[in-house]
Amino acid sequence: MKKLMMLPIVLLLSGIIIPQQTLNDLNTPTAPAAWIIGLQPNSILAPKTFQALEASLYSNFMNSSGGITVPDNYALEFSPYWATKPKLSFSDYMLPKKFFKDQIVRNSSFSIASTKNFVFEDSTKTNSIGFGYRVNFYMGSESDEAKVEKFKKDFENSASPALKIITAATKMRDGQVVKNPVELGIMLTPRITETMGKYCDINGLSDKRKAEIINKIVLQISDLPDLSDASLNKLNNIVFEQLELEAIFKEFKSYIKERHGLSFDLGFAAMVNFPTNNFEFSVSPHQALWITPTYRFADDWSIVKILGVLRYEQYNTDYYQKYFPTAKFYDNNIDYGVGGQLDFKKFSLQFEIVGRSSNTEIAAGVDALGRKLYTKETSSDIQYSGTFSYHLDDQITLSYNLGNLFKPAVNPNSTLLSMLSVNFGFGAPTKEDLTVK
Amino acid sequence: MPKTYRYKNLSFPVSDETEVLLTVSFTTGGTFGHTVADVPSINDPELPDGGTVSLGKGKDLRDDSTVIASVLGNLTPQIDSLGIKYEINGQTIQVHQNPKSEEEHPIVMLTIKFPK
Repeated sequence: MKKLMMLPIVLLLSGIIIPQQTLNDLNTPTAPAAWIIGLQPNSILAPKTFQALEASLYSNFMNSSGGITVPDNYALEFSPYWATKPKLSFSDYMLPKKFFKDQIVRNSSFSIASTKNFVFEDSTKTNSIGFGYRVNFYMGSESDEAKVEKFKKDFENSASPALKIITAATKMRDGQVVKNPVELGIMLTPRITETMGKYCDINGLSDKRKAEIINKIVLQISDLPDLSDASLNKLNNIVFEQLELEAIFKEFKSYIKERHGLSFDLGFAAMVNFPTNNFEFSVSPHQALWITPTYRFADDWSIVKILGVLRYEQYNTDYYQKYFPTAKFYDNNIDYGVGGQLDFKKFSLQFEIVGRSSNTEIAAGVDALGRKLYTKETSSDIQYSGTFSYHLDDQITLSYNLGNLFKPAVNPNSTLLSMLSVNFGFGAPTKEDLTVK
Repeated sequence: MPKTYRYKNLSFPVSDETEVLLTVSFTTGGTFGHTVADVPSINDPELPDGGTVSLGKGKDLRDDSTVIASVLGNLTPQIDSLGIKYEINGQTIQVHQNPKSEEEHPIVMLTIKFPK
């Protein structure tokens, strides 16, 4: 029962700290810094979402007696470029002029994560901080460029006639050329016929369809109650609806979020541990460098995304031998794997399977000439997991991971992964920032 | 349905022979738009994106008010607002900005008179 009561409290708390304007979709937490200190169990980190700032809380929010706990584990990921409110053009945003330079500047994000629960083998709890960086490169394609150009053309083809009709209507009203909506409909008919004629020709609509659209607009204008601003605003909506401007926007907005084709995430993360919980004594026991290619299919298959990972992880075995004396860590670890993601409107499903190949060199004495000898110890392992994420709204996502982890160095039989996480997104400016100067 | 923002009773004094230039620029990243100006003469200038266009000479704009309308869009997920600035002969005559949460595809309409 207490567990059921917990969710509304978490949501209430999040409502207090999240700006109310919700615009951008958020996804499962994937901050590199959180992953390096072990907060994020997935091995394949999906590319960052569009949020300028993301905050993640990793916890089951419950203590052992079933009570509510304040989480000790946090992660923040920040994209500096988008916090500067850049004034790039739409074309430049969609099709960067300087492919690598622009994408590095725009798509770089930095993350930091902290945990108070990095536990040594003797059960000592210590503090650890993770630092991460990643950048995403979208490779683009001819079909993508064609899609952008088509949107711009479709927008212009609809906006131009619509604006010509609505400006004429306002001018006739303001100039008192017409006294009521019926007169407005009559006086506007030549303008509507001319502009809609061009629109229908461009879009290949038949004369019959052209006549239907023109009649519909004229009739709806005549049905307006009066010539007030409110009625003329309604007229604007009638015209824009007939010219399907809303549909053009909607289609392209969906496309931007699910832009098909290939992209690469390059990432680096490092962990810093404070073995005595003293700030002046720290060790960096673990670093990783990886590349994650992602491919999203087009059209009817656009809900499907395929991800891969190739990662090199390096462990400081001297550190681990000191604080985890009976555990087995390897100097060099190569992870390689694939995953898939299905994105639905309110939820997403992610699956992954990742293999690990590890090796370490162990001193084995010296030869007759006094040269040091080493033996190479190798190991392999496999991790698989599934993640269910539910988008509570555009800026809060609840995720649950279930699966089998790589064998932990301590308690190698504890491979069960079962974790709940909440991810919060913060857009760049809030409504309060938007006062016109 | 798009929300319309109207700015009425704007005025910009101009002499008979002065050419009136309308400049439209977008004040928030990723914003784009199409602008049409309904001037007293037959040809109504258009701006498919930001830029500058001539509305004619001062004497040609006297008889009637000029109505300028733009429809804006901003599909950049990282940007939360749309903004547009209108300038006449280099002087700002109107700035509009609204959060996307209020309206994602606003129509902005200006009614301007050009007295002597």
